[in-house]
Amino acid sequence: MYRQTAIVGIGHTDYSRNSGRTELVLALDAIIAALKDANIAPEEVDGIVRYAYDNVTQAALVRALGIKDLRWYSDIPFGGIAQCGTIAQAAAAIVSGIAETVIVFRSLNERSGVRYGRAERSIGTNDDLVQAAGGRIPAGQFAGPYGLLAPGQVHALWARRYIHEAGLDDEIATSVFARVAIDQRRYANNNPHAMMKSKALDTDTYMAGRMISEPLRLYDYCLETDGAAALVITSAERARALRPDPVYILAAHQCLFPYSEPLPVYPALANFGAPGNIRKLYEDARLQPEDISVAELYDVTTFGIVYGLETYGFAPFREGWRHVHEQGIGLDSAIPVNTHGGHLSEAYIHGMNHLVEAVRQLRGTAPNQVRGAETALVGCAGSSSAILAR
Amino acid sequence: MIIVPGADEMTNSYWEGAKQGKLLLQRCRVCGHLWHPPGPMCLKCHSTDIEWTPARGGGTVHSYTIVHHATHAAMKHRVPYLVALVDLEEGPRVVSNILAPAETVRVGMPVALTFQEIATGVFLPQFTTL
Repeated sequence: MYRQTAIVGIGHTDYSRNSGRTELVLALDAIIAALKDANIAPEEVDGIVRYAYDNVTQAALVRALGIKDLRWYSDIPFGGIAQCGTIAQAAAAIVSGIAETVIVFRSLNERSGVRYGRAERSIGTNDDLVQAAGGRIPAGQFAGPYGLLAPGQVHALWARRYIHEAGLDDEIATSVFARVAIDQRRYANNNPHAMMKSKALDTDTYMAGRMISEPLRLYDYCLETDGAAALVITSAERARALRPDPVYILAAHQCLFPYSEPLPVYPALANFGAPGNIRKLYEDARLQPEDISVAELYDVTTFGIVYGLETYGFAPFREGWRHVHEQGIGLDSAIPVNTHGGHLSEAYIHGMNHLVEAVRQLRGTAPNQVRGAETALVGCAGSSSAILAR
Repeated sequence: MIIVPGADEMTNSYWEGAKQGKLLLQRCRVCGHLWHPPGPMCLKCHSTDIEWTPARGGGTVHSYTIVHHATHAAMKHRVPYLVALVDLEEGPRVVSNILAPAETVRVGMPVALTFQEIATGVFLPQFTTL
């Protein structure tokens, strides 16, 4: 896979709380923008990767875009952990020769439509007794009746365990979470696309945020967004013919272990996510953590960054908190994280906006540009990850 | 409104056990491995020769959160409430509430199995402090 494919187009809609448009129209808006950016005509697309959660089907896109010969398409299940699976699958299809020009996208009216922070999407409200079914964590039969209903509550369970294992007190843990929220907000304040562009966040405001699921407060949580984002991926050879600054895919993976999807609580909670085989990811990319210029990490909550720094080798085991405490995640830290503001402060596009930002960084066009950025790591808790480079 | 477990073919025995005051784990008759949640096969030796066995009832709090923001209409009048992960002394982990004042709950504290009838004839395994 190493450097055999590249991202040549990025596109996204405005990010809002109420788009007033259908998810299909949002998807098309982002995809057309990405294709224009790549200087590729829609009819040249021959592959599509879709999040299984998306309501927009490949068929709807083929019809709307007038694609005449879609030769390959796939769906990736389990929500946000699909994030970099999109990259892995598109690259695999292109390297194998099944497809040459692949669109990956995510479109969702997640604020005005079905809200992922609510459980009504899986547990109805039409009776005095409502059933939590299946084995899903959260909201399945072994979780829902106890009130474990939303991903953000699982993050709170992880955060509490982490505080215990790292030997922290709540005060220092809170200051670490606040640092993540504030650093990401500062990035967003300088990002014209960010929903939180004009809203400052300081420690007082953070502390005044109401408790959502202890130990996590309001500003520890991601936004809810209506919007879409898309990428165009093609062979490295074609990419070089299309533009001077293709962003090469060095490595990408997807990972599952028993009960890891979508959010693990048993029995490997100590790993906080699906750590996958990060060593192999770096081997495939022919890099080490210290070679990475910028990281865009999936942030359901601020805690996602604390353990994400450990998962990807940017901080030693149970020292992610210290890394944040001592240097934060800003442009002057050893590894700037979520330079667009992330899900906390740019928008919640299920991780696709993190990939868009990684491409901006490697083109040198990001609002919060990491000087001389050569390599970027994008990842969702180790459950899917990609390493990209100029 | 109350959220009740939706039992299925793989979990019927578990919820029937709860009605009888038992937290049932699955055990492999071949290699002795114990696990939860229920599955079709021993994930150590892949035998399908599985039996149900009641947990002894002891456990420790692996983690917990106090939920202040309701995320389903059924929880609107229940917040704040505490959700915990409990490591059973046999090894498997379960999601539970801790039927004790939230401020007394700590990671690592011992807890004991009990049962709660959340609706007529619907019983949940629960844990309480000693």
